[in-house]
Amino acid sequence: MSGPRRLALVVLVAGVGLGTMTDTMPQRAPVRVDGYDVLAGDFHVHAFVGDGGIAPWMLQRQAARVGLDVIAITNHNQTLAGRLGRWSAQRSSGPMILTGEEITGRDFHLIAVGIEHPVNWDQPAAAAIADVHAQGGVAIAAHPMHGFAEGYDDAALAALDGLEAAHPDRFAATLAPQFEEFYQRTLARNPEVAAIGSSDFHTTGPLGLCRSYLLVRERSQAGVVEAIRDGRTVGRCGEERMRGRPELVRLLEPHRDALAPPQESIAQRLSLLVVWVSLVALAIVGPRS
Amino acid sequence: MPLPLDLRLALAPTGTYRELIAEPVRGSWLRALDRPAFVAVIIGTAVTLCAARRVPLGLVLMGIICWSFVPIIQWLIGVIVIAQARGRPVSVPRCLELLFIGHLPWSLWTLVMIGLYTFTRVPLPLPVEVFSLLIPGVWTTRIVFAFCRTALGCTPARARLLTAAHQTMIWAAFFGYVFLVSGFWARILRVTGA
Repeated sequence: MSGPRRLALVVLVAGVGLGTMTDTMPQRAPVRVDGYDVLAGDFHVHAFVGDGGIAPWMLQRQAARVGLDVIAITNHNQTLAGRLGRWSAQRSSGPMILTGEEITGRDFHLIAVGIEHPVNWDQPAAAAIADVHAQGGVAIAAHPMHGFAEGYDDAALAALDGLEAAHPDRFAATLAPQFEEFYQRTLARNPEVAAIGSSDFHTTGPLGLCRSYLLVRERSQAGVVEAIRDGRTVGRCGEERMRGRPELVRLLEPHRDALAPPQESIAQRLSLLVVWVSLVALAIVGPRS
Repeated sequence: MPLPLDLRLALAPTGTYRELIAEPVRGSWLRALDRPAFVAVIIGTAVTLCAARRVPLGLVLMGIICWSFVPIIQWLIGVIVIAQARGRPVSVPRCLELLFIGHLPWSLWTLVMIGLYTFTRVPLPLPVEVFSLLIPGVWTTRIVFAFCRTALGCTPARARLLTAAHQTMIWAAFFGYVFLVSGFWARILRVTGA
């Protein structure tokens, strides 16, 4: 084995070793407000096999790494990945995994959380929402901006349980007004609608970049679904302000720091850089002369 | 110091392939598998790094296993193309090994994109992202054509045909996967009004 190849391999092993040693799971002190437990959740998560980068059975630990208490795995028009993730999570302790899907229709995208079977995507949004409710789940408008939300008529807006008020696409100045317009339009027909924060996690991460804070009566799937259905949620992206009903935002603002996502350590960042550099070097030198 | 083989082949594919097929290497199925395994390590580790922003061993290994379907598909497409060349001067396993040495453009593109996402966190505009696919696409087409001319011993016309077939299958597999997992059918139905 040539010198550069051996060096690249050693650096790769060192990077993965550092990444393994620094793979800590942050512990967050429980937050309680107004008699409710506050949970951090991400309800728009794609997994492998699908357009997500991480296998569903690895997502529970990933959720723990980023300080989430609950996630929903929501691949496009299928619930298999969600069921796999939930099955795996039930065999170990850690964040809850809920089964879901992103119902990807012709003129709407809709997150279904707490369902078992895929919902027919080729129907009007209001009918899809009714199907989600029939399975005991909750329906959340996904990234409601041009191209994904034209199918929400008045009936659909009135039936929604939640909408993504905090989403990474909101960072784009041109898209933020579209989110706000949809939020206001929905509030006018559905004042109790839950403001949800979701990362829409695929492969470019990070999971939980945008997240929801839920005020739950109990730490269970039923408790989470009930909190969304009753609108006891706020959404937040990174360090931005919380979005949601003003009385809930006021309740949670004092706990802003306690609820913030954990910061990456320098050693964790260094391990990413070391591994990336070694991969570039290995790709160039190849596995063999 | 001579350039590494993969880089040399990416920069001068025809000359490098000529040198390689002149070497007295028989090639084996085991050797034909270690190059795809290497690609799986690059892709699986890189995707895990970007998606999880952590690189613990267990997560990296699972990423490699999951994403190994990419080189497996490339390998199968390679077998189909190689099987069409009857008068090739080297064995099928050796051909597969030679084909995979030309993976550098796609490996580098993957790593550059993932490096941008991971370390700058600035998403590229979608048109730029799509346009950037042309760089490894065109580069690889040149390498595959040189492979067909030398390792498969094809005439220029036959090499063009096999290169086109190879690239068509690769892109069809890529877009087929994207369409399948992202619910793109609904969008197509909307646009076509079907």
